[in-house]
Amino acid sequence: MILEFYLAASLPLFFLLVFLEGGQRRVLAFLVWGLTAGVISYYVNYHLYLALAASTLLPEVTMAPVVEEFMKALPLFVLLLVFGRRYSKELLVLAMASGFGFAILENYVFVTHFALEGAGAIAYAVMRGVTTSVMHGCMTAIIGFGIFLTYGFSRRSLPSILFGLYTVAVMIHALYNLLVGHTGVGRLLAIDLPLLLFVLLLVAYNWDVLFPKPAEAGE
Amino acid sequence: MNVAGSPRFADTLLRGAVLALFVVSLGLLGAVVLVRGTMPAAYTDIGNATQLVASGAAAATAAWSYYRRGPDMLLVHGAFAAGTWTLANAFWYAYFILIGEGLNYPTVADLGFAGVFLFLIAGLQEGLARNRLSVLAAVPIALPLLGAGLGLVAVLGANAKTLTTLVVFTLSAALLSSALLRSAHRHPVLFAATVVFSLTHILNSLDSTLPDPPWVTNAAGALAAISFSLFAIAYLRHAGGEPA
Repeated sequence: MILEFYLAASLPLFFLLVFLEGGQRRVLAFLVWGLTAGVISYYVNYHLYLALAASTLLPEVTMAPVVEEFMKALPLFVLLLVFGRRYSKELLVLAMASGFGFAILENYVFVTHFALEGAGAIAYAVMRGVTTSVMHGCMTAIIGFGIFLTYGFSRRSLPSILFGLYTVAVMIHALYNLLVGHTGVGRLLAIDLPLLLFVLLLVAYNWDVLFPKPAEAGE
Repeated sequence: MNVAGSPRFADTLLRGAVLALFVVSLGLLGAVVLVRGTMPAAYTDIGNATQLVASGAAAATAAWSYYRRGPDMLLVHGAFAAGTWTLANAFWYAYFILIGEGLNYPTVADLGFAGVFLFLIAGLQEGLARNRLSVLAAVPIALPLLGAGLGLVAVLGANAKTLTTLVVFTLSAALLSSALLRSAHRHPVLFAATVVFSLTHILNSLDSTLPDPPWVTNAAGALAAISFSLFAIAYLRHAGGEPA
């Protein structure tokens, strides 16, 4: 059903893309890519789970973050490495849109998988909406914002920076998946982590507004 | 941004703290040399905690120095490198505590460690000027490491463990070569930190790959803590205008 949901969700958005321009089109395009990344990651993870079923690995902790973070951030890598395109801090928003697109599809998979009903289903959906979904958005946003921050660096070190930022996202994602699967303080920390990261990214994105330079503040 | 006129007590405090960490890390290394065998569980706990504190301190020191002294590529990449290493090691340690067993090798933490190498290489390339040495000068460093990595693949067979170890050896060769070609020896603490960091990951990969690893591979944890203590000292010296 996941492919059907993906097609039903993304095809109307393609029609909307025709009417949009500039920044709006880019944000929606990244959201649609996030949905696409969700489908691709689902099938890749599924086959990896089957291949590693007999091993002692925990695929959701050790494999899924590697696949998912790569798929979500792929357009960022392509834009920079292939086309050499440069964006402003808008890159954070675009990256976050990709992460949220991914989360929409993943939420559909989990909500239908557990087949909950009534208040339990609503509570589960809300919980995923404010934790795992935000985590997916923030992880890709970290890569996008990191790329923006390193614009001044030489092109030679760009591959290192991209890979490094990717590993940062994978590490936090893996730590989140590990902690959220357990009880106690670790789980509480994992639940709070996405919202904390979201606030930090929000502050970083609006840094110039929150802390204007003296000349700007005097105007 | 340059706020060099702000109070220096934070620098002094940081220097004292990382020096203390360095001494503790040396103590951990001394314990490995004395025991020369399986280390007790308490040592592992203390060692893991010290590594996390040391790498976190190196990340904080680089970020603080960047904030105080102004744009510097060596410090930016250093902060990213130490921060990523802290995350990767925190994941590894959390897994060890929660799941109750060691992670398989290679795993997601090793991906993080690979990212750290790239940040450190980028830091040297962006932060230090290229010297007049020919690229061939790096051959005596790169060749034995690549040869050893390929030798392991030949002897133990091509599998995930040996191939990951080959990658670690290759990254170590690239890092040490970059240090040589960027005259890192003019920055003795940074050079020492780079060498010890490479040695840490070489020993760690051997520990995970060899069927019966020698006792010396137990030193990897202590060496990690030593290298990050040294990185922290180097970043503080660099920010203060001294050779790192």
